[in-house]
Amino acid sequence: MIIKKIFDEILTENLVLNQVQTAARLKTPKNFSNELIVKCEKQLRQEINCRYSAVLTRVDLGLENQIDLGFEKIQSKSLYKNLLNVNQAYVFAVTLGHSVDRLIQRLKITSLAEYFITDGLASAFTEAACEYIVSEIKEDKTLRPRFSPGYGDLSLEVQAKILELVSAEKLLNIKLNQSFLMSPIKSVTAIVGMEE
Amino acid sequence: MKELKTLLTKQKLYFDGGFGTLLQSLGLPAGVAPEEWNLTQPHKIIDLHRAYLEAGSNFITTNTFGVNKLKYDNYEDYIISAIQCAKVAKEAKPDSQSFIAFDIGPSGRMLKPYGDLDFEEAVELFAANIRVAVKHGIDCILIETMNDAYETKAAVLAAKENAKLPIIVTNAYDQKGKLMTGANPKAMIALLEGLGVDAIGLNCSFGPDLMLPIVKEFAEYSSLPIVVSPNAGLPIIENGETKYDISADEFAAYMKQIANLGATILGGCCGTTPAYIRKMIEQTQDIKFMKPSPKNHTLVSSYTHAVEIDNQPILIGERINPTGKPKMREALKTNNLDYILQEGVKQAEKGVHILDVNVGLPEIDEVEMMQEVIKKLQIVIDLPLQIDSSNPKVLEKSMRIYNGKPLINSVNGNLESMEAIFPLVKKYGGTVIALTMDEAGIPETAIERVQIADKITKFAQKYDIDKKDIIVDPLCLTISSDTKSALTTLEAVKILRQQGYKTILGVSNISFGLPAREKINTSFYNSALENGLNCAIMNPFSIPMLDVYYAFRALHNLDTGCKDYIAFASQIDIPATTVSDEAISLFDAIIKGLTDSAISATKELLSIEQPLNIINNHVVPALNQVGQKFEENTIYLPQLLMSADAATASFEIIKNKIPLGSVEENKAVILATVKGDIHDIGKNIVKVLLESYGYKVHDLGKDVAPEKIVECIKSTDCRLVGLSALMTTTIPAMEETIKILREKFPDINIMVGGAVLNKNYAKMINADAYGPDAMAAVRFTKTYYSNTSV
Repeated sequence: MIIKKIFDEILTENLVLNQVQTAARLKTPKNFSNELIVKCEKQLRQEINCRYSAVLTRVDLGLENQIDLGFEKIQSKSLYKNLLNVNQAYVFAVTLGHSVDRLIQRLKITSLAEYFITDGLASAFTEAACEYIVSEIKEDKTLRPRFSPGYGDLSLEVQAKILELVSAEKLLNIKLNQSFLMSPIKSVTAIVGMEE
Repeated sequence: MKELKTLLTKQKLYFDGGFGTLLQSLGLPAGVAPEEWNLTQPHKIIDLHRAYLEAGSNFITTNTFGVNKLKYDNYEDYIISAIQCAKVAKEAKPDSQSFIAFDIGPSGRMLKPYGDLDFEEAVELFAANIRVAVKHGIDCILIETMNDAYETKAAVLAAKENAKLPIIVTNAYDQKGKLMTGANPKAMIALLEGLGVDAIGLNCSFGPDLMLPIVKEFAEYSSLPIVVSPNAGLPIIENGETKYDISADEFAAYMKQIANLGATILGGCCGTTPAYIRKMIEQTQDIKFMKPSPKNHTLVSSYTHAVEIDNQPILIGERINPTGKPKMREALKTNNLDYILQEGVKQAEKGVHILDVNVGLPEIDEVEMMQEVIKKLQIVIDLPLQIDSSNPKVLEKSMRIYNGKPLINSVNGNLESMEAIFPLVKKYGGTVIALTMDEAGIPETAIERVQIADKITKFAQKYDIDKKDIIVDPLCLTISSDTKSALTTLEAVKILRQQGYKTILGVSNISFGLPAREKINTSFYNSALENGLNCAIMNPFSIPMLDVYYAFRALHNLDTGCKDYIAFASQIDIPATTVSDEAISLFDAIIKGLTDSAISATKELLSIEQPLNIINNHVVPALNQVGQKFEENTIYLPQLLMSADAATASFEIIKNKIPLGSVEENKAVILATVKGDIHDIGKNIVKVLLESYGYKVHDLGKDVAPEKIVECIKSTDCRLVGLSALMTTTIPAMEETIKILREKFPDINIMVGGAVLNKNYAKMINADAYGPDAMAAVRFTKTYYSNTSV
């Protein structure tokens, strides 16, 4: 059963890059920066149109790693373990929007360095957006680590059901291709278990 | 259905309201698609249609929003039953003025290049629905809730090609007033009016309150009847149930405001019910019908915005054209699309408003190349394009796949030309450049040229193409052969402007055959602007031409506070203040990754050193040092790539000075990301690094089938292949590719790389080398070619 729905925009000033994440994406040591990285971040922030849609749903754990999220019965050992003793979860989708994809495509033909840096920063920004959403939905509850399709044995095919549940096509214009990859590319779906 | 077509422009009409949301409240279980009830509970669908008719709706929207053949093999059954339900409902009120609107929603898939649905596949998807619907009796086609301009165009073309019924289009805008793929209302108005639909507007997304500013914009620009069907506000969940935050009374009050702004076709979307529609009609029925008036805006558009040709001078970048440009010619011949795209991006950065695209060369397939270039340009640049070809076939194919309302170059007063071009403009939309020449050639006097413009405009009216969609080019011929020609052209510009025409000139033609042409061009451009010229097809890399443009705008009160002029002038000053930056050596510029400095240093070196020596003595040693530092972990990947960018820029300049054949053209590498894998960043890094070392790279792209690599090996005779894969799921494809290549070419050398690989794995799948990073690929290539006598 759907208990609550949230659909909102995340202002870019609320997206705080995690230095460890950023360094991992840019393949540099932590806190490394230079003029070009600063320029790329500024340019990227102008193109970000970050929106998310989240749904709070009941969680029923059945036998043999079966999880009923109200919208779909999922078979996954790793998600089952993640949601053990939890009876509610947020399911969300978030995207940086189409302009970011376009910017990355443009840089691909003009500057390899800017392309690589911007692509990496954009991935770090989607992580930052996920962190923001988690902080928004947390209230005073303890949350389980965020879990996305593709983690452990959770199939990528669950992506389609999650997107449908959160009305991602209508609200965020996230669509799947035949290999279950999302467009815009810089988008994430996730499930976050909520302890009582 | 002429009756409805006429009614749309003669009176107010009302659509029905929410359907899916209402069916849920009638018991449709969550997760079950509304269209299922067409087959299993048709009486409930019929009842709902009747309730809307009772409330006063003129349209019965069929319950087919989510139906298409991608989702259902038996899509025809859903469509036929939906139309049947609508017909039964209509029969109950035979006297009413009611029409069956066949509903088409988004396909659920993203079109290429951002998704994987091909444009023509999308057209066919919608066409299949429409063919079934037309057979079973509908009155009009409603294309709604689309949030992508390109998908909207696909649906409209499907409707035009498969039915002769009125087409109504409403898009879903977001709160920033744009479609989610970026188009603003003006861009959509340009696109849809160009395509010749019958009514346009907006639906869904949010309540009528938030739609007010968007409706205002529609009222200002649209010559067509405006349709507005909002949600009952925003959804809220109460006890697991979805409700909307605007009541029927509030809804009706807002709809009254919307009707007063000029919207003449009103309805509702998610959350609205027959009660909402009834109240809306009560509140708005006495408002006097405001007949949609023709607007005189000359618009061309891309997939994000429209450019209006009005008082502000418009710059059209001319650089994507092989005429007199050996590098562009070479790029077209060798299918070097990157070069063409770079020329596009550079012109966009110079501030042009529209880009001319001409790819006409006798030795290439212009039809294919034009489509390819347009598709690629529309990934990286959001400017409207001017499709420039003398071949109507090229124009037809490109106008079809263009995402927006293009500028078409060109038609002329020749009957054959008009008969070939105007039907295309009628079908696909476009603003067209009319050259003032005809069977008798180019007239000598300005008046005669204006007469040809009149003739063309009159002929265009046969196809319902308005004067506002024609931009006249009174043609400039070089003053070197006729010294009166500039005066004639300027006079023609002046008269045309006085007669309400928009004008355009290929400015630089005026100086053909003369020395120091820029001097003449700039002076002529200034005179033409003074005479009222709207658009100039010009070289945006010419600073003196930009001087004229910015100064003219500043002097004619077209640049508030001279802001643009000041920004432009301060940019121009930059080179003088960065002398110290320019002064660093090429070696240091590459080490530091300073592209602009590398370019200046290379140019200087070329005056004192042989091109090949510059590569060997400066570029390669610098790259080697950077590569070594990278491997020692004293610099990092972003810095290595900056150096690669600088080296590539330098190499590009040097390459032009080296006689053909003496560079490492025969030292090549074929690169591909394997079948099924769409990640190509790693492969692209390797590509640029190899290129910066001077190797020729045949880049086959991503998701590459083994057969394509085989073909490339055959055609290039290159025996060194680099394969990349990022996903574990595509490793088998890599293994398979290696197997096939080895069978066909026993002497092949294959290096592999990518996040999921390691040395042992590479060995297991029979690769010759594994590259943990891009430098390793360069090292392997160097070793390969030092051991191979090429």
